[in-house]
Amino acid sequence: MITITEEIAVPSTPSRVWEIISDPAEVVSCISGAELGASHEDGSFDGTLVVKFGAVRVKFAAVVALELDPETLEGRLTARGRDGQRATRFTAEATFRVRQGDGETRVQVDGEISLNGKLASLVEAGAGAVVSRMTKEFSDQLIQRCAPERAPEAAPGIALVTTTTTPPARSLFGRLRAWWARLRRKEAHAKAE
Amino acid sequence: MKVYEVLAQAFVAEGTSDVFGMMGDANMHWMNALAQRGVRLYEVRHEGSGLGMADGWARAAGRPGVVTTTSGPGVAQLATSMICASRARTPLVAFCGETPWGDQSAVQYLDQRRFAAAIECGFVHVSRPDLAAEAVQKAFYLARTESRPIMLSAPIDVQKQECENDDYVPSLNLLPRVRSLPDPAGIEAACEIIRDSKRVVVIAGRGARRADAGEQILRLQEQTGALLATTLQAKNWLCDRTGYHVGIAGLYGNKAAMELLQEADCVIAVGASLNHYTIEHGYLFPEARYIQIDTAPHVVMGNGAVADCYLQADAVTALTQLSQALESRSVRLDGYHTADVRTRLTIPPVEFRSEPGRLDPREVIQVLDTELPGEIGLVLGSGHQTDFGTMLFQRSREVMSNYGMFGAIGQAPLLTIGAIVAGGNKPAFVVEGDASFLMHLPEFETACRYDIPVLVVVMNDEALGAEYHKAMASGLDPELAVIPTPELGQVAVALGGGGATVRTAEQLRAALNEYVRNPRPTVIDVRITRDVVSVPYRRLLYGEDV
Ligand SMILES: Cc1ncc(C[n+]2csc(CCOP(=O)(O)OP(=O)(O)O)c2C)c(N)n1
Ligand SMILES: [Mg+2]
Repeated sequence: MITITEEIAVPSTPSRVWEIISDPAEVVSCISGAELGASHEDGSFDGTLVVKFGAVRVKFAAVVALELDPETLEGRLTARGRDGQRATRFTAEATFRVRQGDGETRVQVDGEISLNGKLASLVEAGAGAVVSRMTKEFSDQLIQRCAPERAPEAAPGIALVTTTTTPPARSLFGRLRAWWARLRRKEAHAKAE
Repeated sequence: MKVYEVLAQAFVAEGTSDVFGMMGDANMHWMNALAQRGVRLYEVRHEGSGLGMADGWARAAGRPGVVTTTSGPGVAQLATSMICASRARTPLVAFCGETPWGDQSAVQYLDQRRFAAAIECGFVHVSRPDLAAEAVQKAFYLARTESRPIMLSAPIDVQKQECENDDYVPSLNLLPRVRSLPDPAGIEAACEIIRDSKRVVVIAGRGARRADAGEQILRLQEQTGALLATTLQAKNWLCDRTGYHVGIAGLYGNKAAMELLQEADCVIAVGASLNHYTIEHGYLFPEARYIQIDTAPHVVMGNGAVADCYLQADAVTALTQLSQALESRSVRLDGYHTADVRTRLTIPPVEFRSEPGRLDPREVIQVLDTELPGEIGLVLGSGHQTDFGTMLFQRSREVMSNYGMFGAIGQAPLLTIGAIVAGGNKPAFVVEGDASFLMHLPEFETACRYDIPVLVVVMNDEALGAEYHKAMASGLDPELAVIPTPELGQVAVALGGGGATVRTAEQLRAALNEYVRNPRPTVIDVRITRDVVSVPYRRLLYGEDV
């Protein structure tokens, strides 16, 4: 069992953070190696995640469910699935709470991941280290995503700086969003038939 | 004739030339009878160690090794080594004396049948004088056909009775000598898979090496543009014959090899069971289809599945037919044979991290590989240190590893002694941890007594290094695993051998050169730093992508 307890301080407003964190497409784009698949009628959706344990790349496929409470800004994510070799099952559960901090927003994430099967022996203690690196990466991405939209009327000097340092993640995010929208349309179309 | 003589005669007829063990009331008559028949006896300091030597002897010779013990306590000492031999699938016969048949109040009484079952070996009982020879034949037959250790248990009162000396039929005469030919439909199916593939990996295992299928493997590798990997048991085999050798498949592969192997879409295993170590439960070859050539009737691979194409056949025949079939269909792949792959396989130099008086273990391996000629065989020991040699030895030589065979430390020097005896006393070296070597230290004295030219290179971190690093990773106190040792070079000299304790690469080279000039039982105690963590540990304990 791997546990995650992480408090992320995001320099943004709670409503902006909630907007990001309650949107699966946004969340997925914060996790490198994660992809969103089809969504199901009950509101759950498919997802895949490629994780590198040591030098071995493992692809997991999961059904993910997200329960959201916009009143309290709390959510609960559950995922269960298997890896590509069908040798390992995993379940993950995480709750997250968004609240106003001192001039910033604090996101409290508490989660548990359990791996059952062949992989468990292969990754031994290393899995915990891998997960904590991923959590760190997620936090960084989340902070970037939640950054306030850049003002178009910024001073030329600043504008210059922003163009040269435009993070590639930004365009990836745009691409993902468009892809997600396409997927949704395709889904709707398929279901209509 | 006495039963013990009949038994001894039968062992000789089975090809027994060397017996390891310790005498006691219940086996000494038999040992005397063996000595009279020219069998060399190796008196050891612990029966379990004797079994370890017989195990090494059998692995090197490819036929059943023999160990002997007296009744009860002698048998009980066998436990750990017996389970190792069983897990290694070593053919072996343990001749064990027994207290008088039926006397359960005898001091040394032990229910040897139940004990044998618990330590995972087969059991044959000598219950009657007239069945003694048959019992030996059965024990050897089972050891050979099932490739496992068998305990032949003989009550001392039965051994001392008289019986007829009939003609003995050795178990080998009961074994048919046939080559198994591959099913033509299987060859056809294998061709189809290869034709549809782009990146083929050939994995050569212990079975292929035993079958001497090297040339056939290289031909197939050439035709299919394949990378050549080996199992741990075939480490470094053929590594001097192709630029596309990636070393061991599994956790001991380097980063470039691991990445390349994960791109494979076809794996051809030859004499390799593809256990979970070799294919990392399947994770090492996520996209591959498998072709497996093996003499076993059926094999379930380490991913719980069966190969897409299983060819039960002798390796040489199957490979020859497969290569011919590919040629007649004009199937030829470039696969991995590109300049880019070669570049990726070039090993970048590492910067060694020694501290005053303590060497970097990676440098030690490099010096050993350079200074010790390829004719000198290698046995890889246990503990954390073994990762360095397992990954880094490059030179083509005979390599034996005990990794994954029950995971007991300390067996490797015993295996080495046995292997040297089997090979006619040709020098060999073992790279072992300090705690592992000290576990069976008295057997170094055995090696000295019989002038067995074993070189023990002790990778001395003055610790249970494995536990030290695991403690570090899991927040326990690593100091609990730090255990000082005396200078083992001096200890070796006191026991009658050669020895040196070295703290620099220069001293190490000098000590090695002395051994190469004059091979004799020698211990080189190499002081190494605890600051270098092995690649497998970094992967397993910290999930590092290295
Ligand atoms: C018979 C047995 N006892 C204990 C262990 C646990 N164990 C595994 S590795 C190890 C340390 C071995 O130390 P050493 O031989 O010095 O090698 P190092 O790990 O320091 O390189 C121990 C005690 C074991 N595997 N087998
Ligand atoms: Mg040690």
